[in-house]
Amino acid sequence: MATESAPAAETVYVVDDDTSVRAALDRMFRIAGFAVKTFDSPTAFLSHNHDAAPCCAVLDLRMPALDGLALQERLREAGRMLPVVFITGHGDVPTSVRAMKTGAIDFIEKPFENEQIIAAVRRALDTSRDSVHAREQRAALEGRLKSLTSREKEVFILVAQGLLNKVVAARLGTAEKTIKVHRGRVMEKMAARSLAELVRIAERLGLTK
Amino acid sequence: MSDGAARGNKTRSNTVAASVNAETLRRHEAASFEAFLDELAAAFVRVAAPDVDSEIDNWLKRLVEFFDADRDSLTQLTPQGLLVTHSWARPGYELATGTDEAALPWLAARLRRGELFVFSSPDEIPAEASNERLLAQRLQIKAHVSIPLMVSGSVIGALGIACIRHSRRWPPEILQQIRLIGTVFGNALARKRAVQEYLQLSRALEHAGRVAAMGQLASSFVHEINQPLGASLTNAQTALRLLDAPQPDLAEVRAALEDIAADNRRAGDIVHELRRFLRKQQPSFTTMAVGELFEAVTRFVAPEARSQGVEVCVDAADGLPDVLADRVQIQQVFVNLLLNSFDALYAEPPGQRRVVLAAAPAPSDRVAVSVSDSGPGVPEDLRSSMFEPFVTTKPDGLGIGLAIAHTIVTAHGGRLAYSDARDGGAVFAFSLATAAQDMHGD
Repeated sequence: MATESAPAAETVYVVDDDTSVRAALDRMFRIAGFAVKTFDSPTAFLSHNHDAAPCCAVLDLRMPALDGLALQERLREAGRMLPVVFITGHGDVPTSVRAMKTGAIDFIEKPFENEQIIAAVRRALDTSRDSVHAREQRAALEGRLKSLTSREKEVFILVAQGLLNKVVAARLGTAEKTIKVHRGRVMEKMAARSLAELVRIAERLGLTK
Repeated sequence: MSDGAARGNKTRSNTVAASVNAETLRRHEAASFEAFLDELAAAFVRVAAPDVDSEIDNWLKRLVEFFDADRDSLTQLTPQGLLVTHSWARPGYELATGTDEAALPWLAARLRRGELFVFSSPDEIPAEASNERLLAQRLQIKAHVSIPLMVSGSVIGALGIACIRHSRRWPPEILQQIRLIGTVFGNALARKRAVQEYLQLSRALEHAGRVAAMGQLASSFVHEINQPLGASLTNAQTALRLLDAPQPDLAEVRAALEDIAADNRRAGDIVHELRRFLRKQQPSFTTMAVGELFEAVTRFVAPEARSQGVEVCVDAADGLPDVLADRVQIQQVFVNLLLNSFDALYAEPPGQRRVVLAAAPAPSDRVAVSVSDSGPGVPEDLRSSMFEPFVTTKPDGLGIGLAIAHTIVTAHGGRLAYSDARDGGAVFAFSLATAAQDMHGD
């Protein structure tokens, strides 16, 4: 099988206290074309600031001091949402269920085939990529929203609710013509090519409630 | 009878004279039998369990001599039936061998009821005991006594004494007391059996303790062994994948193979250590370095220490002499003490769970060793009983860890002692002999 390269910026974080396992996983992911960073303890991983690029973590569910699950919870608390692939030695069902609920992508039970864990990591990176993309888009939209004046924002919210220009003008106590101008500027600033698109953007920004 | 003797004719008076003579002999024999029994009872009161067999052999010979008989034997009831376990015969006479219960059903039934069986001629054997009669005739037994061996009311076997050269009578004075021999022998055998069973039980307990400690460690072991195995599998598959490339990176393949070899050795070491721990063996004293001993022990408990977040420190003085101990047993002592400490540290905050293995020179060429922890110590009310078996504070504990440790330390000529650590934790200490001390001892 040829080495299919994943985009270079996508990193697999391997956190395992066992030197042998860490080295083997490092080699495997490297050969599979991923960028790899290894950590010998959950604490070391927590103190590392990973960037916003797509990434995922491979954690041993059973580690001393701070086990994989606790680490995952700490990451969530710190607002570092990254998909996690757990390696488990004993198919512990309740623990697995708990981990799944807190957002684990996959469970790989030891002993595992390389292809199993590589596939799991690919899925995790897909998820990460999607959420990075969504995060970026949302950040862009929020930036655009900020560029609106307060009047424009009022118009945006009312228009997004499907109200006619006439009704909006009445609500805001101004002329329909003025509303038309505001609406044109909102469309422009929010980069919406149609009213439908503008409504979708408002939905994504949570402005339609 | 004396009136008739004074009055009677010659024949009669001769008979009376003979009978008086026999009477004297009888009295004399009865008196000396009493002394004989006193001596026998006294001998068996003193005898230690391992010497019971040779003492019985000794008294079988003396019994034959006392009764001017020719051979005797001791038969025990076993789950397999009747079994001759001790016997003695005058030179030139065959030793009694196995008694087949089916061959002598009448006698066996009688003995099982705890009844004596005596004859002074095979003709006295009842007609229904035809097998017994045939056997006595075939072996030319002229007189015989069978005495049941009794232990607190139950029959555990029989003692048989046979006269072959000539017959003899069994006067009531003798028969009244002869049962006492059965009781003395019976109790001695029962005592020996109890001691044997006790020893077997304590060996079994010691083994069980080791197995119980293993159970605690088993899941850690599974994890510990799965690590190198898993790493090897990953590396092997990576190496195969590398070899699939048009121009394989051989340096990387080599690195993967080297890691596989190292992980295999690591797994092998763990299995080896485990087997050594599980093996049930007789104590065998060898010299070993304290450092080596501590290293083996800490390696053994490392998985458990890690999973419970306990830091294990070693504090051994420099230049300690080698100690003399049974490697497996003394490791068992340390493992039991360490696992107890780990449990005691459960309630301590992480980062403050600390156990110290220490060794220092001690007087009279010994080495003082100890296991101390930063836990809460042993509760006051447990201190007097904690070394006894089945005393535990753990909901699922068997309570034999400390008892085993105590037994082993005692067998090593030491004394396992408890004291409070300065900061309130527990200290278990004892001392070990050194090779130097052993040489002085010789």
